[in-house]
Amino acid sequence: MDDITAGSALNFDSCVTVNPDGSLEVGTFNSSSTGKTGPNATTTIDSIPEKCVCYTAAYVDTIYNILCAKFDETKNNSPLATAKLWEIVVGMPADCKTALERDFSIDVPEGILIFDLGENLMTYSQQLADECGEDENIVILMTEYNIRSTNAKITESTVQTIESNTGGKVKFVFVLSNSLSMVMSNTEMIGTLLGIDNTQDFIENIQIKIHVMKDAISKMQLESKKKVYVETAAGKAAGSENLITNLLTDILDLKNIADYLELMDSKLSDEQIVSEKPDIIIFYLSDSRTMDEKMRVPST
Amino acid sequence: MNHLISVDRKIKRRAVVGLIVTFALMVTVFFTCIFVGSVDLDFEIVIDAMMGRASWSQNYIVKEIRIPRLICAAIVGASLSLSGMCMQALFKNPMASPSILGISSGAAFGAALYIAVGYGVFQITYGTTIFAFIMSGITMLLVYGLAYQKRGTHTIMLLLSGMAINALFSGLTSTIEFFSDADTVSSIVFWILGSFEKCNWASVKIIAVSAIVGSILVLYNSRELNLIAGGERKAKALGVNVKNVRIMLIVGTCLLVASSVSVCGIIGFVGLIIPHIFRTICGPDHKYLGPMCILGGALFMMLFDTIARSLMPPYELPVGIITSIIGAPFFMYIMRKREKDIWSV
Repeated sequence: MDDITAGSALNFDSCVTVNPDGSLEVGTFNSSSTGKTGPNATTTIDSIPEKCVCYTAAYVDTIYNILCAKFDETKNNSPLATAKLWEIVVGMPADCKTALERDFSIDVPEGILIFDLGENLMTYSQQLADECGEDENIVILMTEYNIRSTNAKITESTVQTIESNTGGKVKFVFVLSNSLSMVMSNTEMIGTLLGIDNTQDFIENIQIKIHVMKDAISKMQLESKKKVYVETAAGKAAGSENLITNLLTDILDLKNIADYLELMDSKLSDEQIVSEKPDIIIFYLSDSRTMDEKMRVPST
Repeated sequence: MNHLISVDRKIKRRAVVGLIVTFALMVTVFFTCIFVGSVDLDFEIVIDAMMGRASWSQNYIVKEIRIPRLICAAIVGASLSLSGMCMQALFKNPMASPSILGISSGAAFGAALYIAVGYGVFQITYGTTIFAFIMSGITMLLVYGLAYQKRGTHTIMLLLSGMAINALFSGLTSTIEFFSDADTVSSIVFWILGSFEKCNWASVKIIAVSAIVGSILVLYNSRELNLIAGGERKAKALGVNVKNVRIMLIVGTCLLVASSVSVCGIIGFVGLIIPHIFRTICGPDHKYLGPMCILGGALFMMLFDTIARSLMPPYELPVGIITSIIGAPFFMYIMRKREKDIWSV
């Protein structure tokens, strides 16, 4: 890590602080749905929770990866990491379980609390709090997308009521990952929050890998950047300020043809996509268009 | 007597001239609209692209995006306006439109159902279109089944059944939207707003067959439609088999609407306004009004779609928004200006 120059290292802002008394200050990207919009909102957690509920499969995978690194295991053969993972993760929504098993090949054991996204969060949180031991507490990791995709109608007062009703045993942390540096920041936060001691080593290892990759790409000396067009689940163009395009532009040094669009809900016409002649087109499979239509080539 | 013959000749002459002018305008608009799009292409490039001599992307834009899209718009415009004309005469109601039988709502429900849950189960190509088409057929059977009585199927009963089924499927579609995530709702809403964005040669093939069959069924019965529009009893007395003709017309209308809605979503107002506009030119005789609606509907829809895709580049607005925003005031203007002509010779 020391060999990597300051400019080429992937820097990120830490969003978790461990206080001398053992409490944690966590930067939480409370969404507009909860009434807090800024990334500067903080949540104080009295002690390391060690247990969590993940609303998104990627968080479970993040914890699993840190644990695999900790126990020096591979994903195919990870008895210690797997055992520890299911000590930490105690609940998740049903669609998160499906995604874990389908997309990440992580089997969710019986005994993990599985619930519907629209289920009453207050009742569910109280149940979690009741199951906690005397000195235990639990953190619920959520994204704005999780809130938007439920009918739970989570507001700032809902969050405060739940945190207050459960005597501080249940805390919410809203995670936002729009760029690679935010992913690194959140990885550090999740690892630290859950008391996994090798988190810093894990992050440094990733930084080295990214540096090696970027270095190799810069040495290719391509005449011009390769163009990419990324389509979201709803068939819209992914502009800037979102994770997938930022990963492609930051690490692989690709040019996003919809970079001038700021949001993920912008529509580019097929004419514009074709006229930009993207070298790579990335799309979701979850629609009924044919492969030719998605790739913008004449039907064969 | 001589005066009546003279009026009849005058109307025929106006209708024939109107047909020729509308056809010429339609062809002109078709070729003009090929030059308009969210990407600027020079006149020479478009001509070269049509001949397949331009670059790959330019050829693709012209031959695989613009031309099939315009043809789709023309077919859908023609289908919706012809079905609107048929509904207005059949139900003797100037406010009747293709949505009155609930077919559009049924198709929208089918599409929403596929977008929300169907893809996860079936994963079929053109699933949205297929589901929308099937639901249009089911809606048609439901409406007719509800209206059926032992004494026969009364027009008013059909109308009321259509309204009830329309409300039912609108409610079901809203329920799907309520329980869906943001991306799914966005896809459903965009589809329901109506757009030719996803039209290609495959879409043209899908809608062409049912549009042709539907048009033949309606145009073949134009004389009978004239008599039914004057009153069903009178039509029966003049030897029209009202029951059979009505079934043929409804099947024809359903084919026209179902194929259109299944490919491009719900496009409002066209089925309502186009027949009225052209009724002011060639009168209420369906022998002339039918072909006029086909040409006029195609002409207007191509224009509306071109406006929709070039108004706010790089975005393409759903054409359903444009038809409503431009169509409603235009319709009101025509209504006020030609108030007396609309339902009289």
